[in-house]
Amino acid sequence: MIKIESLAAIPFFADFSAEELNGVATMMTERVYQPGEIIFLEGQAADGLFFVASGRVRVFKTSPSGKEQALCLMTPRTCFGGCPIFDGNTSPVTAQAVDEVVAYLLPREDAVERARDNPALSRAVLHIFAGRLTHLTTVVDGLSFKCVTERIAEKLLAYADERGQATERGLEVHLDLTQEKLASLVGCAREVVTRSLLRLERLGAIEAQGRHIVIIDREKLIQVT
Amino acid sequence: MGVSPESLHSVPVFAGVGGLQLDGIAAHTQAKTYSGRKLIVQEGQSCTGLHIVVDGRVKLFRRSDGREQIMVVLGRGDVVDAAPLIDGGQYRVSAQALGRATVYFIDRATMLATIDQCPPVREALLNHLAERLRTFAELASDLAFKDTTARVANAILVCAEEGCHTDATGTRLDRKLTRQELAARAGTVREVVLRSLKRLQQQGLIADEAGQIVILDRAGLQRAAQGEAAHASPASASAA
Repeated sequence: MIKIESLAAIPFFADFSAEELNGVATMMTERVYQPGEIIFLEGQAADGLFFVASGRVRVFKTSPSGKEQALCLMTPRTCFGGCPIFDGNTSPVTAQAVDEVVAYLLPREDAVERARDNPALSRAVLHIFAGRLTHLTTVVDGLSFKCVTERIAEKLLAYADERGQATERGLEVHLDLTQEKLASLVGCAREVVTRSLLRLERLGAIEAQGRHIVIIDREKLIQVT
Repeated sequence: MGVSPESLHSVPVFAGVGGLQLDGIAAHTQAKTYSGRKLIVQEGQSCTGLHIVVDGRVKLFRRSDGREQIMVVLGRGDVVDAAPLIDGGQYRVSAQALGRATVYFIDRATMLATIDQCPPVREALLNHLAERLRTFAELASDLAFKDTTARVANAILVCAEEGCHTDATGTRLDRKLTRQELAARAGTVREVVLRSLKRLQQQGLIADEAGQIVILDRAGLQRAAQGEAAHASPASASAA
């Protein structure tokens, strides 16, 4: 059985009584995924509600030709996979483990049944959905309102903040992404990424060599976004 | 103030509620009619309650730098934006009637009490939010993967679903669709819409009769709406 303490650390369960937590814990199973492993596929029936214990999970949509559009990155103590459970449809997205992921799964039937007679659970799911909707509106904003160069500049800044290394030339960022992946993250074709990086280079904001990018002028890059 | 319990019952969110509980909510429900420019709710404002469309069409949209992105067009029984009701935040979107629309409004306090006491309403809202999430995820992938012509084709088809009639020439939309609205639905600007419309006309899929769009080849338009950005440039097979 999943440890009560591990569940209690997840914000989703903040309003659960000890008894309710116990009840949910007995229904859950632990699952372990290897880096890159698919947790569920878009278009498939849903297994249930997932809670990330450790590792990160990428949630994305795939085009008929296999291009990917990232929607969100799930980190420890977050919850995902709820949408198809509560609208009775197949999964609208694919979820894939980025690192080794340990997740707790509340099976579909149990989740639906619990939501009916446990107000704490249905309220928690409503909150998750409300938050996810906010997030999706910003994803749509990013795709709709910003041109690709802006989106790429934004991504580079985010990467730089996360793992950039200060050197004499500037802030060095090693993208562990191909241009293909970067294209999928910002929602455009790879050629457009190449062109946008070139534009940023000409602006004097960055220097790009393959996956290695040096941010020369952070201010300029910020101005673009 | 107040609407009849029967009419409230016909709204999916309250379909599972009955008796005194339904009467109580109905007494707190206001029917409001909107037309023209007045917003039903505005992005960024704090939530005052729940709006449900009972007649007409309502667009949900976001605006940035003078450009508008329509997120979804709602019809009878659809909930406007329940997210801030749940988490106490602000409206994520603005809502405006397309033409004339009637909405039911239930104040926040009444709705929160109802959510607390009424499992069928919780269930209906879970269902509603899950569907809305799916719609927004779909919109994100359309914006990411499809070229503008495909998105314009899709927007025309969605409008046709909202109301159309068929005659000898083809399928006519009931409502006149402005280029501005098409651009907002397809997530682009007017100039690009004009180019896409021309392309769809050249392919014989639609006709433009004094600004009114007529669908000549629905199956062809559906194929065009599937088009992906990467291999969309040469006219598709349906062009012939």
